[in-house]
Amino acid sequence: MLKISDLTKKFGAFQALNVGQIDIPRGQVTGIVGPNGAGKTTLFNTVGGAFRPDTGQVMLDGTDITGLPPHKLAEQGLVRTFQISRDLGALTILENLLLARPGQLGESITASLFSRARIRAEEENAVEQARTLLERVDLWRLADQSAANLSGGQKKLLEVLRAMMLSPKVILLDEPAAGVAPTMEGVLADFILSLKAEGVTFAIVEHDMEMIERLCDSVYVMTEGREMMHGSFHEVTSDPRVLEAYLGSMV
Amino acid sequence: MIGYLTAILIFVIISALIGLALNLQWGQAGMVNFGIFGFFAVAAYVAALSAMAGVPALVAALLAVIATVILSALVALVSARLREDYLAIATLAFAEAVRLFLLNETWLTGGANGLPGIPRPLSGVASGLHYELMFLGISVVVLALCFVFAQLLTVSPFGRVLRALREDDLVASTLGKTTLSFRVRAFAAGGAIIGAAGSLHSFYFSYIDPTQFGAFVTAYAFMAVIAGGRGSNTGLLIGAVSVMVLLEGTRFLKDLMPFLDAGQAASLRLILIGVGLILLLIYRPQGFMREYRLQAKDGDVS
Ligand SMILES: Nc1ncnc2c1ncn2[C@@H]1O[C@H](COP(=O)(O)OP(=O)(O)OP(=O)(O)O)[C@@H](O)[C@H]1O
Ligand SMILES: [Mg+2]
Repeated sequence: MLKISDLTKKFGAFQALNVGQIDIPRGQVTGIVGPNGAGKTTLFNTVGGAFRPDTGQVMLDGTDITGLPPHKLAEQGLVRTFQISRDLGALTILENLLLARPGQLGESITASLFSRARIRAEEENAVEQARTLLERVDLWRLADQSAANLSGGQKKLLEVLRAMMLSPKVILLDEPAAGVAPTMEGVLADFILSLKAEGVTFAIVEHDMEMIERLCDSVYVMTEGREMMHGSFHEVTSDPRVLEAYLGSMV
Repeated sequence: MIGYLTAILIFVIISALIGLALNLQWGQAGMVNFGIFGFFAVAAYVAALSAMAGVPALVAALLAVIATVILSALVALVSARLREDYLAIATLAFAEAVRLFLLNETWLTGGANGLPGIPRPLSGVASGLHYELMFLGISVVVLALCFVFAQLLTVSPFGRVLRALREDDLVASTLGKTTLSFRVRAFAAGGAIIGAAGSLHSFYFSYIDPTQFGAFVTAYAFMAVIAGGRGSNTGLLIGAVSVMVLLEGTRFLKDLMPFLDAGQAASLRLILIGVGLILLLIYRPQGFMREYRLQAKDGDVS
């Protein structure tokens, strides 16, 4: 589904990213782990269009999407979430979702002035889509509240829901469990698995190993900008090199 | 007295229009426009010059609107790759360029002497106080149209994207929004309203010169938007009126306190305006009204 080859990114002289080959297979949840500063977020930023890569290629479903800006990637079916939740606090929870719906007539100025009835009909459909998603995670009851009022875990859920409004092929999740209360972590994991069952492909950066074990079909380990190994959760966690990479980053 | 009130009301309407434009550009889309007085000047001069060339008033106003829409779109486009604080500088630079143009291209703008004798629309229909009242009526209609225009944009999905852009443009673009297109259109939509404001200004005063388009125009507009509550169009109207009450009300200080000389009265007036603003920021930092939010759960979608 998503194939990343020879992707590099430098900040000044610092080689933050130098990846050989990472494959995110269709319909699976692929984990990306590694010590702090390994380049995981940089990988998502570079694949997700926040940065342009220096070299390399990213293919989505056979289409070259290397270096496309985020809004083009969204059109192609790739959406990412952020390590630090970026809720839009000036919008309600429902509006956060409605915002993400693609192809809205109401985003045109002339339509906003002269096609009010059609926009209202469109909005009703959008609200239905959003409502279905929000009800799945019990957030519909808060729909009209500011997104700023949500708990850490709810904000992470909101980001996933927002992404789902785009009916994407792939979602990149950057530390979905960071700053999330344990009970909420379960809700989040269940939700991700139910989306996976519906055919959504995920790549997940996460430090919480229980979460990785529960969700991931396979795991990449990154250190110092490169992917060091790839395997099942148990292969990866029993590999001495991985242990060393983690310990090495602590001293 | 009625004549004075009419003049004040027309003045409030013109500032409210500028405030509405800023509320769209900065209040909702987060795009700082310090050079709003430059766009206002362009609109006034285009309307004035067209009317003086014999173009009917409505067409002259339309030309002014087209000019400010195009220039606003261009300024937004040129500064698109810059960060928010640079847009502030770019708009200021634009306004300064306009000022220099107005001062130096005397053949067209009359330079510092300005343009006298701008024909007033429908001047054959009424005269004196009746004309003033009729002009007030026209201004109210223009304000109502512009308010509906702004409000329709605010409550539509377009306005939702603007608020999202203001909060976090990376999120908006991650969710598939072309940030550049929305920014340019928001700025241009605000420009359209400034075009209407500039036309009214020229037609009402029938004399314009560069001193009428100073940075104070921008300052009043920001005061009105902040006092009204950033993003709220209804709040903006209240904000524009309050700012005007503060500015005009303090004008009578000298009558109330005859022991002050003119200089002292002017200073006291500035102090009172400052105190008024500070009190507002202390007691209602969020402004009079909250910006629009969709409330859809238990009711109608719009
Ligand atoms: N915009 C940037 N400019 C300069 N250096 C950066 C930038 N972004 C990241 N880096 C550097 O690149 C390296 C990788 O950072 P990155 O955020 O990708 O790590 P990470 O694997 O996501 O770590 P964590 O687990 O702590 O989130 C770090 O050394 C970081 O300081
Ligand atoms: Mg990270």
